Parts: sequence; C-alpha cells; structure tokens
Amino acid sequence: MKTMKRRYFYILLLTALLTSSQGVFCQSETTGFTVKGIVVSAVTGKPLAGARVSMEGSKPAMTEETGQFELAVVEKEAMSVTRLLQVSVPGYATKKLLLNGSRLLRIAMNDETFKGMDQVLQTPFGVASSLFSPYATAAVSPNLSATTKSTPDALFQGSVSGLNTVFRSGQPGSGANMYLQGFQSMLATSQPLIIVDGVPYENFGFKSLISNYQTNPLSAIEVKDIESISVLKDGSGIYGGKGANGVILINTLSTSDPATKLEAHVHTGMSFVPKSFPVMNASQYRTFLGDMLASAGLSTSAIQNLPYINQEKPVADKYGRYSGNLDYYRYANNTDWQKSAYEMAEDQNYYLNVKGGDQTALYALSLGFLNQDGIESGTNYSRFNMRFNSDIAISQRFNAHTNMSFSYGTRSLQNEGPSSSYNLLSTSLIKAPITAAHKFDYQGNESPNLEEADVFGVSNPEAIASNIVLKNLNYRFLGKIGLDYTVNQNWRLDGAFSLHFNKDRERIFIPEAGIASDTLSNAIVLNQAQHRVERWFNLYGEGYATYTKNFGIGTHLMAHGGMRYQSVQSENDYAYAYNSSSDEFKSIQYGDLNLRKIGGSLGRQNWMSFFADADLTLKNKFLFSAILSSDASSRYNSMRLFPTLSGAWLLSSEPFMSKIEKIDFLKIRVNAGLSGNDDIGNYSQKTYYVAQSFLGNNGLVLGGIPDAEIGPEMLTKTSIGLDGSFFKERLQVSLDAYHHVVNDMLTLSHAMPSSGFDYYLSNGGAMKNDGLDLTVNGRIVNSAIKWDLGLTISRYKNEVTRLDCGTLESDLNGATVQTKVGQPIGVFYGYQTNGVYTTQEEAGAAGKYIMDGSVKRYFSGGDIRFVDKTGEGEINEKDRIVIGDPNPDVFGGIMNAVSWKTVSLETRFTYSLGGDVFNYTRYLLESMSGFDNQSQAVLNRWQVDGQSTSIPKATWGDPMGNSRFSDRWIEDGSYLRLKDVTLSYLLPNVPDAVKSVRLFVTGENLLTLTNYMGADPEFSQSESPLYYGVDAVICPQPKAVFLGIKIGL
Amino acid sequence: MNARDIKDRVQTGHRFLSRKTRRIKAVKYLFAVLLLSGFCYSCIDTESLEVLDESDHYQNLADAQKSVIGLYGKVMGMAEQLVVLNELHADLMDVTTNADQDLQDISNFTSNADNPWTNPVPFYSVIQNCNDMLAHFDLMLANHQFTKDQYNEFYSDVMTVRCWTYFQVGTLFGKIPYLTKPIKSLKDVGADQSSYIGLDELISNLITCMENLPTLNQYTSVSGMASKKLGNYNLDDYFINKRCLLSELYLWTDDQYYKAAKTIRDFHIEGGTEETWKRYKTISYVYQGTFEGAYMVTYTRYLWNDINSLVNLWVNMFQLGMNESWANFENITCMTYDPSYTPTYPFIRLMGTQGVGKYLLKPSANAIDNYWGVQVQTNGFTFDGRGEGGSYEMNGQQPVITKYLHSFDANAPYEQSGKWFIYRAGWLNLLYAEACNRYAETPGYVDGDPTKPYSAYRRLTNAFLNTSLSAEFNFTRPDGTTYPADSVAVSGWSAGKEFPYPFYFDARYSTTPYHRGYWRDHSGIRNRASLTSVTYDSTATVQPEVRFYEKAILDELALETAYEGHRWRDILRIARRWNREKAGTGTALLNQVIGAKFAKNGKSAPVFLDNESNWYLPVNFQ
Repeated sequence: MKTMKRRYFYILLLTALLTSSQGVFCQSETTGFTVKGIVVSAVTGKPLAGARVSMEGSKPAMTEETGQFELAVVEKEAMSVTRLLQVSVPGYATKKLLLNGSRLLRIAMNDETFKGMDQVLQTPFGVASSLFSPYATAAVSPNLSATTKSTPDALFQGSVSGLNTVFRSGQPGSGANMYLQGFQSMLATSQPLIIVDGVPYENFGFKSLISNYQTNPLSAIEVKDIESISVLKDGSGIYGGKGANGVILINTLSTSDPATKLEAHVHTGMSFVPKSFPVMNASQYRTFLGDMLASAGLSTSAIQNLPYINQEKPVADKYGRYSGNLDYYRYANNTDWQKSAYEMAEDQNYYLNVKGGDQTALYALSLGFLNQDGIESGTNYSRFNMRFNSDIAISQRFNAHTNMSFSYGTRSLQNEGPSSSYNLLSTSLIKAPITAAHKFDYQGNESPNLEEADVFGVSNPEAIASNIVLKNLNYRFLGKIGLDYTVNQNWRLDGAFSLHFNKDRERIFIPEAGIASDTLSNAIVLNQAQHRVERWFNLYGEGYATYTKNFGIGTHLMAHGGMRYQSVQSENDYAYAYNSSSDEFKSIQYGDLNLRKIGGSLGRQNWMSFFADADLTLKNKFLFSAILSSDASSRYNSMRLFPTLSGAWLLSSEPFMSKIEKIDFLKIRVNAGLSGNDDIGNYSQKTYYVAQSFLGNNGLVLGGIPDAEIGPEMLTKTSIGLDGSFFKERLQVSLDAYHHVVNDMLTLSHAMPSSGFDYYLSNGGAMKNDGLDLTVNGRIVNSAIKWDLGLTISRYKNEVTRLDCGTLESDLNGATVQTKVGQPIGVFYGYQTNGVYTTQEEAGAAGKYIMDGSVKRYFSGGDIRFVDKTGEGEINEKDRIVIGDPNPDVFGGIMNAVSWKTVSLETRFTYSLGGDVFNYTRYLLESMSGFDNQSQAVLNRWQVDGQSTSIPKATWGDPMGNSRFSDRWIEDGSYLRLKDVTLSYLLPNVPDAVKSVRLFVTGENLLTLTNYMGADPEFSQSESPLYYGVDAVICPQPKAVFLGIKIGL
Repeated sequence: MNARDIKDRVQTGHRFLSRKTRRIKAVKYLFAVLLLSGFCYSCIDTESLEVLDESDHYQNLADAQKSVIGLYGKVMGMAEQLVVLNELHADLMDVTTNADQDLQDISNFTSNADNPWTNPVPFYSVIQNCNDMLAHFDLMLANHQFTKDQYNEFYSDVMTVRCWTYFQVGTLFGKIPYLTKPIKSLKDVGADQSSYIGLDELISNLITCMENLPTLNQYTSVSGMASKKLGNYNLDDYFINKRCLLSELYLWTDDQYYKAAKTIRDFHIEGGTEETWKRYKTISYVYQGTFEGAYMVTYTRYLWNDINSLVNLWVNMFQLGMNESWANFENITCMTYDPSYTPTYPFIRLMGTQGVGKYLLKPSANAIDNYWGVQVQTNGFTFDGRGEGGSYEMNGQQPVITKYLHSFDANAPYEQSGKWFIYRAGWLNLLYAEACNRYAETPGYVDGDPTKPYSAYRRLTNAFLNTSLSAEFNFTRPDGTTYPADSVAVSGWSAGKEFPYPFYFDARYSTTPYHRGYWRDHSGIRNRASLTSVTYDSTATVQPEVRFYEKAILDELALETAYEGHRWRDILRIARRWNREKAGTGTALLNQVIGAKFAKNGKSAPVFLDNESNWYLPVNFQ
C-alpha cells in the first residue's frame, strides 16, 4: 500500500518536471509582445473604466472608458511564461489571473462580496494568496450573521470543511469543541492550536466547579473584532509539537486607512423556551408509583397509607386538631417542573469600534458589552471587552505593532451532565409531578416558602433555579508588541513579545433549603460553598528572519528562520466548605472547621522551537514548500524534529490547460508532514514525588512510573488536494483527501502490579484518520439578484491501530465506550436487545438468566429480551457487542446568501449525518427503576401477560438490569439545522454625517430536522473524543431572534 | 573612503567585508547560536511546582522525614486489605448478607486472581517507595547529606516497613516477586521475571535483611523522628516495631526459636534496661476495676462468683486513645486514624451498622461458638470476656465485630476514626510462649547440667499462656514449705537456679527485704481473662506435649487477637511447621481449623492439599 502511494508520487513528480522543462526550452523564441483585454462588470457586461491592471514583467495600465487595456511586455521572455495578472477596480473584488500567451482577455469583475479563487490567507508569518499555497487551508470571513454570536467558535460551524465544530451546551457563552479532520488524540488535547494576532492562545478548558462547564477561552474575543480567520489543515508543523490538531489563525481589528472611521453596533434579542419533554402528569405518575411501590414489596394497605398516596384530606375538629392525611396538600399537585427549568431570555449587545490614524501610526480601538440571559433559569452571561491595536511606522524600515485586549466576563450557570441533586434540568425531569414548589398548610393554602427535597430524595427545582449560586468570573488580558525591520529588499527581521494572562474565579454555593443532602466521608452535607481560582500566565516571544528573492517572472523564494519560546505558569487553588450555620452564610469561612478542604496545584511548562520554512514558486506553475521545526520542551527529554514537505502543480498555468475556457484555475496539491501534540502532562518523563497525607501532614511518595522516553504524540499527515475555479470563477471547488497517522499516541496502560502503580502513561498507541473534505462555493445567480451558495461536506474514518494497554472500556454517564484496535475510538459497547418478552411462557422458553451472586435469576414476561451472543444462557458482560458508532458519516454546512439592491438574506445550515448518540435523558426517563418521574413512553410499559410492547415492565430496583446500557438508548443523532438566518437592509438614504446604516434581523436555531429524541442533537460533553456522542442532560441550543442596527460613521 | 562609501557600507551590510572577515563572522554567529541554544536549553527545563522533582528531593534530613511520613501514609492505606485477607480468609470472620461477591469469595476461599481485594498494587506501592527511599538514603549518606547515625535509623525503619510488607504479601500469596531495586524508568518495570521467590526463601531473605539492620531500636532524637507528634498523634506508635517483626520471622524457621525468644526479651528491655513493670507485662493487678492499665476480664472484688459483677477491662486496650498513658502498656505498634484526614479509617464501613457502616463482615459462628463459647472462667462460668463484649457484640440478632468500632460516635455517624492494631503485648507474649515451647524440645541439658533440662523452659509457655510467672515459679521446698518471697517467683529450674537470659524473668514481690521485680504483676493470657488453664495431660492426649501446647497457643491467639490481622499467618505458620515435622499433619491441622468455619455454616469446606501451592490466595502479578 505504502509503496503504491510512493510510486504515484514519483509519477506525478516526473510529469510535473517534464512539462515544466517544455516551458524552459521555449524561452528564447520571442522577444516582446502585448497583452490586450477588456474589463467589464460581470453582472451588466458593461465596460469598466479606471481599472488598474498589472502584470508581472510589464508596467501597469488603467482601462479607458471602453474598458480596454493593453500591457506591453518588453522583457525578453517567452510568451509561454505564466504571468500573474491583477485587476482592481474600486467597489469590485480584486481579481488575479494566471495567464500565458497573448490572448485577448475579457475580464469580468464581481462585487466585493464575491468569493473568487483568490483568498487572502493568514499564515504564521503574515498573509499570502490562496492561489500560491501548497497546503490545505481555509479562510473564514466573518459575515453579518456572526455579529449576534457571543463567541468566535460559532464562525467555524459548517463553514470550514473538515472542522467538526460542536457546541458544548446551549448555556450562554458556552464554547464549542472543535475536531479537525477526525480525532488526533485520546488522552491529550484534541483541540486545534489557536493563534490570535500571532500569539498562541491555549484553548483548553480549565476544570470547573460547575459540572459540565469548562472555561471557553475564545469567548474573551469579541466576534466583531475579528478581521480574518484562516484554518491551516496542513503545514501546522511550523508549530512543531503543538500543531498536530491543526492551527487556527485569528487576526483582529486593523486598518490600513488613516481616515477616522467609527462603527457602532447594537442588537437585542430573545431566546425561547424549548419544547418540553413529554413526562408523565400527576395521575399517570400516581399509577406508575403504585406499580413501583407494589413491586418494591409493599402491600396494598401499606401503599394506601403512604402520605403521597392517601387521598384523605386533613380535617380539623372543633379544637383545631387535624386528622386525615396531613401531607395531603403537599402531594395533591400536578406540577409541570420543566416550567421551573426554563424561561424566556433576553440578550443585549453594544459594540463600538474606531479606526484611524495618520501617516506614521494607525490604530483600531473597540469597546463592547454584552448581557445575555440563558434559557435555563438563573443563567446569564455578561462581558465587557476592549481591544486596542496599532501599527506604528517608526522609520521607513522599522515598524512596531501593538495588540492589547482585555475582557471581563461573568457567568451564572447551572450544573449540567449526569443527574445529580444539584442539576436543574435532570431534577425538573425526574421530579414527581405530585409535589409542589412551595409549602402548603393543612387547609391547602400555599406558602411562599420553598418546599424541601421530597420524600424520594429529589431536590426542589425551584430552589435550584433561584437559590443555587454557580458563578464564574473570567479576566483575560493579552498584550503583544511586535517589531519588524526591513534590512533590504531581501531580508526582513521580525520579533514579538507577548504576555497573556487569564484568571478564572469561581464561586458556588448550594443551600440546604430545597436541595437533597449529600454525604461526605465523615459528615452529611447540609449546604456547601466552594471557591476556586485558576490563574494562567503565558509569556511568549518569537523572532525570525525572512528572506525573499525573485528569480524572474513567476519564480520566487520566500524563506523564514527563527525561534519561539513560551513559558506557561498555571495555578489552581480551591477551597470547599460545608455546613455553614445558615444558607445566608455563603462564604467559605463560615463552613464547619472540621470539614474544610483546601487544595490546589501549580504547573509550569516551557517550550522552545526553532523553525525554518521555504516556499518556492517556480514559473508560477510549481509550488514547493518545506518546513522544519525542532522542539525542546520541559515535558520531554530530547529535541524533536518536525519536517513537512509539500508541492503543488498549477495545472491551469500550463499552456495546454489555458485553452480550456471553463477552467479558470486548477491546482493539485501533495503534502506530507509531521507535527506533534505535547499535551502529555508536565512531569511524565521524570521521577517525581507527590504529597501523601498522613494525619493531616503531607509526606512525599513516588508519583508515577517515570517514562524517560515519553514524547509528544506524532502525527504524520499526508494529503492530496485539488483547488479549482470554473466558469469565470462562478464555481470554486476545493477537495482534500487525507491520511493521518497518529503515532506515539498517549495511552494509560495497565502497569505490572509489582511496580506499585496501577497505570502508567506512555506513547503506547496509534490511530489513523482517513478522510475527505469538500468545499464548494458558487454564485448561482449573478444579476441584480445575487445568490451565493456554499457547501462543505466532510467525512472521516477513524481507526485505532495500536493500543499497548489493550482494549479500553470507559464508563461515561452509564454508557460504556470501547476503544479497541481496528475500531474507531470510543464506540458504544453494550447489549443488543430484541424487544420485550411478551409472555411469561415465552421468557420461560428462552431460559435466559443473570447471575446474582450464586443465584440464577431468570428473565420473565415483561423483561427485555437481551440477545445472548455467547449462547450460554447467562446474559453477562460477554454478550456485549459494538452497538453504535458516534462518529458522523458526513458533516458540514450549507451557506446561502441572496442579495438584491441593499437587501440581503443569509442562511446557514449545519448538518451531521449518521452519528450514533447515547440518549442519557431517555435512559433517565425510561429506566423505571425507582420513583423518579418518567417519560410518557412508559405508559406503554408491559403490564399484562401477552402485551406486546417495546417498553419493559416497571420493577423497583430493576433487578434484571432491563435499563442496562444497550441499544435501547442508542439513537441516530443525524440532524440538519438552520443555524442562523439574517435578513438585513442597508438604508439607502442616510444623513451626511452618517456613512451607512444597516438594520438586520437574525434568527438562530429556528429549525432543526432530526429524529433524535433528546433535547438537542448538538452537544459535546467534553473535548475528549471518548465522550463524543454521549449526551447527558445538557441545555439545548435555544431558538432565538435578534434585532440589530449597525451604523458606520 | 568618502561619506558615500560609508553610507553604502552601512546599507549593504556585510557585502563590503572581505571573505576572511565573513568567515570569522560566520563562526561568531555560529557560536552565538550555540550559546543561545545552550542558554535556552536551561530555559526550557522547568522546576516542577505541582510535584517534587527527584533532583530536589532527598537533600537533607527534612526530606528524609517527609519521605517517612509519606511512607506511613501509604502503610495506613493497606489496613483494609490486610485485615480482610488475614481474617476473612481464615476461620474467625465471616461475611454478612450485605457483602458482595468479591468479599464472599475471600471468605469462601473461592476468590480468583482478579478479586480486587487481592490487588497487590497497594503493597508494592509501599515496597517500591521503600526501595526508592533506601537507594536515596545510601546516596545521601555517600554525599554526606546526613550522618551515619541518622542514616542508620531511617534505613532501619524503612527496611523494616519493606520486610513487614513483604512478609504480609508472601504469607498471603506464596510465590511473589521480590524486588529490592528502585524503578528508574518504565524499562525497569517487570524486567526481572526471575525475581519470584517462595515463602521459605522470602523468610530467609527477610531475616537476613532484618539481622543486618544497623539498629533494631526505635528512632531516637538523632533522626528527629522520636517522640515526633503530628497533631495529637505520637508517631512512635506508628513505626513498625523491628523486634516484633524479627521475632515473628524467626518463628517461621525450625532452628531459630532461641533467637525468637531472645528478640522478644530484647524488646522487653529495649534500651538496655528492663522497661517499667507496667509496659507489655500483660499485668493483672487490680481488683476494684479502677486501674485501666490492667486489661483484665475480672469480677468485682469478693464477688468472684457473681456473673453480674463482671468487669471487662480487657476491651479498654482497644478503646483507649493512644495518647492515654495506659494505652502503651499493651499496644506496641498501633496506628490511629484521624477522622478529618485521609487515609480514611476503613473498618467502620466494613463492620459497622450505623452511619457509614455497611455491615459487610461479622464474626463467624465458628468463632462465637467453638472458640469463645466454650471457654470456662475460673469461677466456672462458660464465658470469655474477649468474645462477646470484647471482640464482638450482639446488635439484636446480629453479631458485630466491635474491636474497631470503639471510636464510633452515633452522634457523628459519618466520622470515621479508630485504630489499626498491629502489634500488642498479648500477641507478643503468646509468641514468646510459642518460642519457649519449641525451644524446650531441644534434647539434653543447659550447660550439660542434668538438673537443667531444656524441657523446663516449657514452664514459661505455661506461665505466659495460662497462669503467670509468679505462680508458675512459686517453688516450694521438697517438704512443701515455702521459700522466702525474695527467693522464688524468678523463672528457673528451681529456687535459686535461675534460667539464663533470655528466659530469665524476675517476678518477685517481697517486702522484707524490699524487692519489686519488674514482672511481679505479670499474668498469663488466659489468667488475665480469668480463664482456667489449658494443661497437658499425657493420659488424655495422644499428641506430644509440644504440639498440644502449640495448638493451645494457636487457639489462644484466636481468642486473644481475633480480627487484628494475624489469623491466617498464625494458622499458616503452625501448619507449615507441622508439615515440616511430619508430612501431612500440618495440612490436616489447616483443614481442621479452616474447615470448622464451614462445618459450622453447613457448607463444604475448601480442601488444602499437601502440596502447599493451593494454600495461597490466587493473585495477579501481571
């Protein structure tokens, strides 16, 4: 297989060389010729005057009234040499053409919004044209719909092929988990490296006190500050041991125009309460409860005497003494608890930026404030942010650039994830509808006081919604000073130094009132307060030299060499306190002295990388690029090398292709490179000691088995790509096929017990991803009405190829995911079911049983018919099989933009097809093992012999394990979602003082097509690939509508 | 050179320089780059903040102390497994219906290698830490980072912990990996597969290790560990007693009974002089029930025959906090768990019935009925205060092991505190009895003197097991008259013919002349519990005397030290010794002792074969 691939590569290389030599030999044939043409508007076909036309090897020209131009080539070079021609007209998108021969050209210019084949790409060293990039890259330009987003992650959704961007939750300000071209790691980070204004911006979420929440570093960046984004799928080796998950380069606010410009932006919106789950109402629940109690072994009379069953109203005698069921009113309710969980939410956003300057200094300043309520009761996100960027020309050759940004965000959140007594969503689902939020007296009068946790041990959702404090405060500062010095026309020096600081403060308080109590190892928890501070400090510096050299038309070299250095310090401190004397004492100092817990950790990591790259463009036909970086890190012992080689052939530059009118541009790319993932823990290679408690004092004991050879995970990327532009650039296609091999994948292996450790970390695994990314952009209608359609389709196949630790089974929220050689990472592994035993007789005939200690328990009528894979009669762990693959078959987005005059309509659909999901919510609501309220599906439960149904019988405690992890809970998680739609209107007549006024209406998540029965098919509990597809009562993405105005001054 | 030239030169940089200068410059740059990279290499090396790097540890005395503290934290983490494996996997403890399959398997001798209770990782975690510490102590000594005296104490303590842990692991699992070098990298893990050794080889290795220790004494002020207190806890109580371990190890061989006895006696007089009369003398002294130091099962004075006047002072040894002065009369090595800190006390969860108590383990019916249930008090009652009311109590119909529950407070049901009893005087004195019993088998006479038969040492067995030193050696003249008080109550062949050390005990109590022997209030273990003596009657017993007493001591160990984590080891020791003496007799003993628990429960008992390999718990060392 490998040799085959290599052979293809050689053939390709040979063809490329042969064809190129033709051009070289023809060189001396002609001396001097002219290129003539006409520049017209693509829409109207009318000639455009004043267009600036330039071409390599010739003086630039301007078009006349007729739109015609003529360029004389005086140099003694062949006509067949491919030259870059560039046409720019104010108000139109600049056009680049690669041209050979002297044809009469008809150049059709499109409006500025038009996405042609030439895209400006951010690179680690500046900008470049996508035409001359041998790598798979994608540029994302923030569109108008994006302006209502509170976090930049949203920009990637659906718009970058290969980048699977999944929002973690619908809580305000939540970030997304991003996986580029499959999964590249199991235990280390799987998130792309983000570079903001040239500074690595670590995008790992800190662990939070609030369950399922993780800090979203990207939310510190105001979306409207973003000028451009590029995604490097290949070529990330320039970042050595940090580049394996791909690189996202984000550039913020800048201007090249000294004129002062001001832009104001205000929007406000509403988010709507989602559709509620169909859980049982009070009367349905009462019947279910009766069945459950009976199955728990209670007699009918005992059941009747229970306060929540007994229907005897309390009656007072003449002395005012009450008899009857004193708790009657407490349980005589029909409460829709989901109403406590959600509420309509408001959203406000104010933003202002000013850009301007003079000849020597340019600046851009922005200020923003947003306040966003979440649909989950009690949740809110507010943020203040500012940014100041400047470019200063100190001398003609010497420039300085500064970037400074500060953001302060506060969040009020709710716990998410697997059911707990503090989790609002799960509690509101399972809370018995017969209970009430407030207390009642004996006459049935409702008190304003909140009811306690109920007799079944379920908290009062109203108390969670209103009294639990779950706050996260985030401060982030990033400052950078960059300098560049142009030595001469070939050499340039760049240097930058930056400081990046983040602090997260968290405070949670869980009151006693209304919340089911928890236990510690030495006490019952009444209330609890927890504080946490996480500090992260990053110093980063880089310096490099750039060498550029032109060797003639279409042949030039650009090379860089330099180094970067990063030092990260982190600190995490936390304190837990329990049982303060009142729920009003929310601070940790009030907790019981004996139960206090404090702790924390410190981390430090240094990284240094030497790097060099060289990009050679040969005759405007061949592109070669080589990267070599060499990393040293405090995390591993030896230097690591990361080489990358790529090449591309611009087929459209060949004479034989230039005759094909339909093809404007065609490029074939080949890339092979190595990059790493150094998220392997700070100390794995060392012998080290950790604290061991002994009577409250800390002694020191060995911390782990040192692996002196541990190193970064090594990702070998090989890819072939094609970029093409057709029909006068009306259609752009980009296709990538890749094969990724992750070697030295970090694994946690079972250690020999005599080592004294259960597990050790090592580079003991390997994995591969094969995939295809397709991006298609087209202008479907190009007249007074313009319609642009964009489509991304991505597909990958992940397979674990080596796992020294053997097959891994991880239990996540009741799901078991298996990681095994030959399978994708983290597939669902459980029991296969085949309906429900309709009759006792049928179950008896099947004769399946489980072992309870040494006792055989046989399945009976109404139990789930588990498939006995081994055929041994006993249903046990050996009968489990792979029951689902959470990886989607395809995912991507569909973008539409239609405009007419000053009205435009943008829509973005995102989709994911074929991925399986573990529906934890349904597992919670259909398990029927206790007194929790269940979904209406259980009304159809098996109750009489002979009943044919898919829901098993209700048995207290579920002794047969009918609710065990099986294909009952696996669903198809495919969806198509109208992620956003924006209608905007640019006012045609505005006062002189104002440049432009745009009004817009945006809708988010208005439509979702899915068969998934959970709250939302889009969720991501953790960045770990193992959790992919494991749902866990997460707040759904809300439907929202925004109204906004954007004013330019 | 004119001004223009200079300007040009500045602008065009090195092009003006001659070739030679350029080469020099290049070398300079190369040097600068090398220097820079060297500098940077030191930049990328970080100091670990979250964890302590090896290079920063073991630099001084404080580091050594921190390591010992950490090590004992780890040792305390083994309590749960060691007690369960040595007791539940024996005849005195049983599971309740609450116990899961894994515990049931341990109890029924049906566990497999994957049973979490037999996971050897916690044991080897201690062993590997010891290996690492010992290697570093050697380095510290070589680097003069602490003195030889300090080294001696730290080294001896850590080596003792390692030997003690190996001894536990070996007696539970039989053939085990014996590793003595620290792991420096992943490659060292499991590299040496030939390191598996059997129990005999292990015992011999451990004895060699222990005998070669620089000191067998406890820490002194030299190391800063003696009388060191952490919170309210005196660390002296936590350090594994070296002589207790060594004497027990000697009993596992056939020819070192003398050394065993001597080591125990050395322990009694550790530091050169006999410890005070109170310490470790298993005294019986007081009749009013006010002296807490006497851990007796007795009756109110003059109401000897009134069962209602029973005073059970024996349980005090488990109840008293280790900071109480009396506690040290009995407890030698005893680890107290603080409710606020980890490691958490595990036994309330296992044995308790309230709060965190899951009530998983209980006394076996065999222990209740066949051991304590058949003991006869000196006043004729069939009763043993060390059973009900001592080691267990009835909670309704449920027998609950209470040895570990004395610190449980029903008002704070989630606080888990208590003690882990490792070595105490009652146990040690029975071991002394065992050593004497065997040493008394030595044929011939001491010093060749026919009035000094070795067999007389068995009187010490009787004194320590049954009555007391003063009663046993209360010689009378051939005519029946008594000697003066200052010439009897000394262990010997007869009055004035004292046993040599380590068999010499002074139990005299004489007013004229005034003399108080250290052992004057000593009591045999049975006498302390007010039980009748077990005496050999050659007409009633077919067994030779030595075996009779050995079995009696084994039974007494059950009565006295049940649930303290010795049981399996005790049975194994005697059974192996008997098998060595006469093949099959030990196997029969093992089958008999363990089988009784199953017989009592009406279950079929496990069958132990003569080949020892099926005696041990299956374990997974892979």
